[in-house]
Amino acid sequence: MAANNYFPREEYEARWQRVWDAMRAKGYDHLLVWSRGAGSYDRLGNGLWLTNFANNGTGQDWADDVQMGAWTFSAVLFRDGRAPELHSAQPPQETEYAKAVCGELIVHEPSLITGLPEYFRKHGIEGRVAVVGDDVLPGLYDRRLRSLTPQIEWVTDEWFLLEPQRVKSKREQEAFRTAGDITTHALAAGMDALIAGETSAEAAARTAMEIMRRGGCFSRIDMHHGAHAERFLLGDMLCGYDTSAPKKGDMVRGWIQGPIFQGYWLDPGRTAVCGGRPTKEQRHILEGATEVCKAIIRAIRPGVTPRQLGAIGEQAALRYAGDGIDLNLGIFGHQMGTFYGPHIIPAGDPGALEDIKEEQGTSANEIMFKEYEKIDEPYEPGMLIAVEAFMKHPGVGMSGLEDHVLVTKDGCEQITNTPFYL
Amino acid sequence: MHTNRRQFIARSAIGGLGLVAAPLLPSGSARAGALPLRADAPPIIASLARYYRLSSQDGERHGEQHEDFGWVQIDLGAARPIDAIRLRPVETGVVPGHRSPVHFCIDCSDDPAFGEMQPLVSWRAEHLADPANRLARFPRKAVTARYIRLGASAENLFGGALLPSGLATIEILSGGVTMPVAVRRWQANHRRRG
Repeated sequence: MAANNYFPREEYEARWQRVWDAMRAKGYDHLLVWSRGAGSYDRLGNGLWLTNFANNGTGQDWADDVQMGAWTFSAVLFRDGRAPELHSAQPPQETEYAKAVCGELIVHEPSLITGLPEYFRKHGIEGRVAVVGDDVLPGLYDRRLRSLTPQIEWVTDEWFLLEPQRVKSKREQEAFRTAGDITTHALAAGMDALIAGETSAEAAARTAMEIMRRGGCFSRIDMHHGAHAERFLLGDMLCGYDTSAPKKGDMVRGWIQGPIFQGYWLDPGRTAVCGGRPTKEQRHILEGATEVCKAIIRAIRPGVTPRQLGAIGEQAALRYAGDGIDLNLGIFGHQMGTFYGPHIIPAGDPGALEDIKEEQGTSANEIMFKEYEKIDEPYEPGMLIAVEAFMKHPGVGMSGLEDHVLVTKDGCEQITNTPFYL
Repeated sequence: MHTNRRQFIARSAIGGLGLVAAPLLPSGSARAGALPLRADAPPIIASLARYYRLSSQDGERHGEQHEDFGWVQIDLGAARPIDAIRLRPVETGVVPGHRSPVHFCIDCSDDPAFGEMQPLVSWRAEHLADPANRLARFPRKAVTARYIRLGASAENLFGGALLPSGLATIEILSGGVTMPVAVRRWQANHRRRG
């Protein structure tokens, strides 16, 4: 098994070791990680990261009375320091298990939701079981699972895997470089199309072609222009693009999101002007967003904290913001892995953590404190950071830009290198 | 048709078709609880479920060394006396390639999750050449429950006649009435695509 896998088994064993270490640190004897596959990417990445198993279902099946349910779900069970068990509901003739890397591989028919409780009972699994994926498993299944496992105290720990996933291995860094190279070319192709005045759909198609011909994958490609691009961050709400074409002088924006390569997620973006000749006002906000990102990227190195980067980005932004020009969104970046990492680079110094915590739940502008909880934790070599900035000038447009860097031992390496369109 | 426990067991042994979980109670004993069953009550439909291990080396089923467990859970609709249980396989006789041991467990509970359950039988066959002559004997003990779960595991059970996957019906003698349970087997999960 795993002979042709991108990652060798030793890579997974090292990941498991990090998970066990994290379990020990939190006092967990058991950990269950849910994933949903295929058309929906939500947390497929966790199961993939742990076992290289990708479920080929749609991820969107009708929930039913659990007899046939949970078809596109899988779970990874850690217990007793053993190699993790992969639990799935798909019979072996329906899916390719040969690429999975795990300890035991157990199939439940007809349903994972009724099968797991029986398995737990037979194997004496009881007490506290930490669970990642409460936001993946539908309520119908979750209620059923809980009702069938009265001996288990389910402990939700949604962010548990972030620590084991935080620093990328050398092979993971290679995967990210490949993903970065794919998106560099793909985003450039889409932006070139928009600048040339082709439709949003044509620009998205050119982007998709560059991703797919290089063996990549995506979740969404947003290509849009004009007033829509000033008002909304992303393109057509349903598709990300439509068949309208920008006019010369319109601001145009392109964004790619998805598990680009081997399940590793990137979301780079660029803004330009159709025809390639920005006005002075347009150039101002294009340069503003670019300079913010450049300033932050120049400062990224081991030991720097997200808070420090936020302050550096704010300093750069203040040279462009004001006089009706807004620096929006509140963050200058975030971590990345098999999905968006929730720990952010704040847009500016947000003040004392205690104050942020107090603000949570007290204002209309809700703050998720946990996003901020690592802002004083220094970056380390091997971390993957997304850096982004947006600048909006009403009546002129909104510029946005996002790039990704790997933290190296003495600085950082930018892995997305689509040109700036100034 | 009203049946007492003696008749119920005797038909099983003579017919050579099943395994009987009995005697649990003296014949014809009456207990408080749910209304007695009607003799013409429609069969209860119960579904088979199972889990099994695949080789973690190649994702294939290699049979002998891999855990394989199947079970059927029956909801009687209310707590009822359980006097005896008879299992009817899909077919009789020796199943080629059927390896020993096979382990049956029958438990009952008033909790659908079987958080608290009462074991009725845990029975291990050394071989299954003639299951008709292997009538399991249990302690005499009064049992009233709503849910019954029959589980079976074996080293190599795929299609085995006496395992849940090979069951055609389960019959439960309750208060003098034989209650049939039809075992529905899913045609695997691959029906659900698209």
